[in-house]
Amino acid sequence: MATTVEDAGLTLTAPDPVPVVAPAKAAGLVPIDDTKKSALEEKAEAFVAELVVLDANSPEFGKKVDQLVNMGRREIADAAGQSNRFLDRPVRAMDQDSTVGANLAELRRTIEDLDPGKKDDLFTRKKLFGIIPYGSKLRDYFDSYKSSQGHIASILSHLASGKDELLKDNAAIDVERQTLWAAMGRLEQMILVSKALDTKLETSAADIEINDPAKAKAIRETALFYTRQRTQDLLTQMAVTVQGYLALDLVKKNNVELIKGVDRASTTTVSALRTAVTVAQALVGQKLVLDQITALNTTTANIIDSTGEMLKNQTARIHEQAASSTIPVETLQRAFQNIYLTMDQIDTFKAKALISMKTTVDTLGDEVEKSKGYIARAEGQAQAAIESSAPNPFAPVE
Amino acid sequence: MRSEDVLARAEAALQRHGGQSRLQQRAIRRLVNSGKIKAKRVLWLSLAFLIGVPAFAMLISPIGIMGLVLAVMLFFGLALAAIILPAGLRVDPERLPTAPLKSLPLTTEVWLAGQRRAFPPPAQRLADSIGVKLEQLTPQLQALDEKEPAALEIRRLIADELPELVNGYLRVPDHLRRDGLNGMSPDKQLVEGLNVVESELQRMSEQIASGDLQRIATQSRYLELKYQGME
Repeated sequence: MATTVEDAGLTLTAPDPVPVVAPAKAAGLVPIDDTKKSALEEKAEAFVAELVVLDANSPEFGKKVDQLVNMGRREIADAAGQSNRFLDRPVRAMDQDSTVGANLAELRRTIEDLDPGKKDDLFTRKKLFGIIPYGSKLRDYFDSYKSSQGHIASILSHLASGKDELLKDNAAIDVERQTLWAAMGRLEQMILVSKALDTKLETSAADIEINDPAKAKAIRETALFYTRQRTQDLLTQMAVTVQGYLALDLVKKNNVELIKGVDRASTTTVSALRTAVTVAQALVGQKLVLDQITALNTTTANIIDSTGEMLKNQTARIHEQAASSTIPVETLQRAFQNIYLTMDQIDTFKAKALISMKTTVDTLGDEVEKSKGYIARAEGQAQAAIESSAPNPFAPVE
Repeated sequence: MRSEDVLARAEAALQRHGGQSRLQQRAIRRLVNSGKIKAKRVLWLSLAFLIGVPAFAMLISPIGIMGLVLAVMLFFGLALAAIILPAGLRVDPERLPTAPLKSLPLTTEVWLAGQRRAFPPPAQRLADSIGVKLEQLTPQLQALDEKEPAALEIRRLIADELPELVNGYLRVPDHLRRDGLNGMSPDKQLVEGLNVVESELQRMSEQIASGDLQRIATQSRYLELKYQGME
């Protein structure tokens, strides 16, 4: 017999956990256009040119070196502030899964109560004291739909609002990723500057080595040293930020899959109920009116366009089959099987996704922990540097 | 629309939003406010005399012509004093750290406006633009909780660090402010410090607004996702 609502279309794939991003590979992921690049390199060049002509013992030289110490401080603090927030997000996503999960579990319980497969001998007649026949079990069975339709409708609407939450979460992730991308762009620029400073300081120290070895030494031991330290800090922060960016994508993909699952669970449920209506008509000539479900059905169909389309096509087929089929109850059982299938798939997906998510949270947590050391150092320097209030000469180019 | 209309509208918009005229507006408002306070003082004084003098004459002892003349003279003297004495809010810098956050920017602004006369011209301009920033910050702070880190940061900056800078400058004797000692110039340092304060205020304002900016962006994205499909 041809199945009415074959559920082959649904595949929920759990995204892979986010890999660890090595600081050395963190740079270069965000493109910087060439005009900005050359502007930043000019900044670095001008800075080194100014530094080289200063007396290595003068306070001005010290001030310049301080500027190197502070380089990228704001960019790092900015990105770090966001990294704390995005660490929070996968954790919250796991929570949200559980509310959707609870609703799905309840739907499953309610559906199981209605499952024709769980009722034995629906076709036997009810007998008073086991002897006197009265009424039909089948009629009672279809009556049970009426009593549970309110419950099902409320679960389905909970699922719909759970889905809205997931969508909202994804919208927030999109916005967060946008700001994170901007923060990464600024970090990238700072990395570019500090790398340019590194090479320029190195070459100019080598140039003045013969004429002024003391200054060359000062440049190497202060300016170059701090520049390298800052490069390392920036790269570390960049690695954490990139990883967070990827983690956000993971959460988003997860949500998309879960939304698909919730959609499908709702449609298969509604579809089973429709089948029940048709089957009731065919079997006992009973007009089963499920008002709430019908109302829900139209809204569901409106929101989920593709599945709505699917539902519409199915309804015609259900009608046809229920009418022609010799065993319409089997058709109904198929419909119930489809709900279980969808829910099982969601369960396996969630189990897999949870592992991915946990791995990601763990690695991200480790990386954030590592970068905190750098941030603390940067903060300490920031406190010390409040005195030297000159504007940052390496501000990213807008 | 005729071109005069466009020009008139543009001018009105400039009047409303322009930075320079905004400063002027604030100055005018301050003047009007102090005028109102002075008028009120004179009004109360006249009322007191109009009731007090006849009451005294009837109930306690008659005052005679001389007494009346004396009373009128006293009235004019007091009225003059009421007009001459400065009106408007006077803010003690010691009071700033305990002022409630919601009114802190305005309190600081009033205090800063009181100090600005002692500043060199570039610092005066900066003080004005800090004033504007403080005014912009006020509505943003209405919804902010006192205990939030952002609130503490703002409090530290405008109730503690800014007054410290200004008072430090004012403690330097007049003749040393321009050139100072050992290559340190208080005038220059004041300007640099005020510059930092101004840019920090800007940043903090942006930071506080970022939550709201994100919220609106999120909501519009959510509507897109929900009603126009994913991606």
